[in-house]
Amino acid sequence: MPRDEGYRRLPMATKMVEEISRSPSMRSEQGSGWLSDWGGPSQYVAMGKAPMEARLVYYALQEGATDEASIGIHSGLSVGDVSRGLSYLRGKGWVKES
Amino acid sequence: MGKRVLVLGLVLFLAFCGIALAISNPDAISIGSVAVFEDVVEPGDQLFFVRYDVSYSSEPSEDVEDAFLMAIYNPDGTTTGYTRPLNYYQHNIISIYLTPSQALTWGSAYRVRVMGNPGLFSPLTEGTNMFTKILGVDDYKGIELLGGYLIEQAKDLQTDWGITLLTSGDLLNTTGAMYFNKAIPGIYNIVPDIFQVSSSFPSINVTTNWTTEGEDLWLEHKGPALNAAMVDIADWLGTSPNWIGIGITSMLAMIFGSTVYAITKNPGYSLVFSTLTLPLAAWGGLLEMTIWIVVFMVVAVIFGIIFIQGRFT
Repeated sequence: MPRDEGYRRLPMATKMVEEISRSPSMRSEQGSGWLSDWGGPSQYVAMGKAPMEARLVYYALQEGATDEASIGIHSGLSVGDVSRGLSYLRGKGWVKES
Repeated sequence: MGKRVLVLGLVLFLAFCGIALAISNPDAISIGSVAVFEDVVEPGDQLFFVRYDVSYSSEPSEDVEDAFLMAIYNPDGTTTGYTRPLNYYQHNIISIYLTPSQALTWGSAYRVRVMGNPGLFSPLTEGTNMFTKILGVDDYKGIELLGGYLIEQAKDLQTDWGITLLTSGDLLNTTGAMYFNKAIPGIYNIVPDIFQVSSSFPSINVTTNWTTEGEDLWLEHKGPALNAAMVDIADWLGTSPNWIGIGITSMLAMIFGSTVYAITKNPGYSLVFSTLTLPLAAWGGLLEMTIWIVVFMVVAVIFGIIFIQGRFT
């Protein structure tokens, strides 16, 4: 069974996260810090449907990367993947134009 | 010309249909654990359980129910026909329940597969869009192990998902119960002990073999001689022994009541003491208990009307 591979692998189906979010009883069981590594449940669902390179770029930016070179270092992505990831995020409005 | 256009159109239609149905292969596909249990709900049935991972780095827009399924294949690779769509992408659980009439040979090397829908994935390739686990003897487990096994699976999922499925006492909470019941419908009633909250029906013992202890006691007190005498008199008079018992009891009550009245000159005392004849007659076997209770109620009502109510009016 594949384990943690950074933010590449989604351990849980996005449909499950949506179901838990809709249920007050299940939501309360998970506490306030639920999926905080992903930026919360809604961010998990959004990232779960985004391309892998976009997800890695997003979290590289969250961790302090400021330009394409440092994003590449943080994420291990090629220059082309970083560029594609950034353009996807900009298209969704999740990252502002620098 | 018209036929050519029609054929070309048909080819293009089929080609676009194929494109529309296409779905990318998962980044990884595997089976983490598999187990078979028998005598789950009724003797002879079977439950095939799988913890799988159909891992996509970016989840497809297609419903997983349409795209992937769990299937059981015979040891020679031919299908048994038992399949069930998966409930979720990524790391999750699923099961197939077989009734006693559907049950497979216990302990055989069946192949349990998590695979893409053959209509969407072509070709199906092991390790790419299909994962097969050949069952070994150790995968067949007794029903008494089902609860503990599921808790172990929940611990594995809980760690990987990063959410809480178990209570501090290792029972499935609401979230855990929801997803395990979705994977194994009816699991609430199969192993209720693994749930934090469960419901069950109370068992009610309905007595169908009533004893004759009361009747036996009545006959014992009555004695064989008295019983024979009452039966003989009843036969002679053409009535039932109960009427004979009532008659004898009534005579005894009148004698007892008259004696008390002669001494006290009070009809109330006379009635009360004559009533005491009834339980004595019942105990002695002259009168059935039900009859004396009815008579007692009637006398009590009459006593209440005449003597108690009479003193206040």
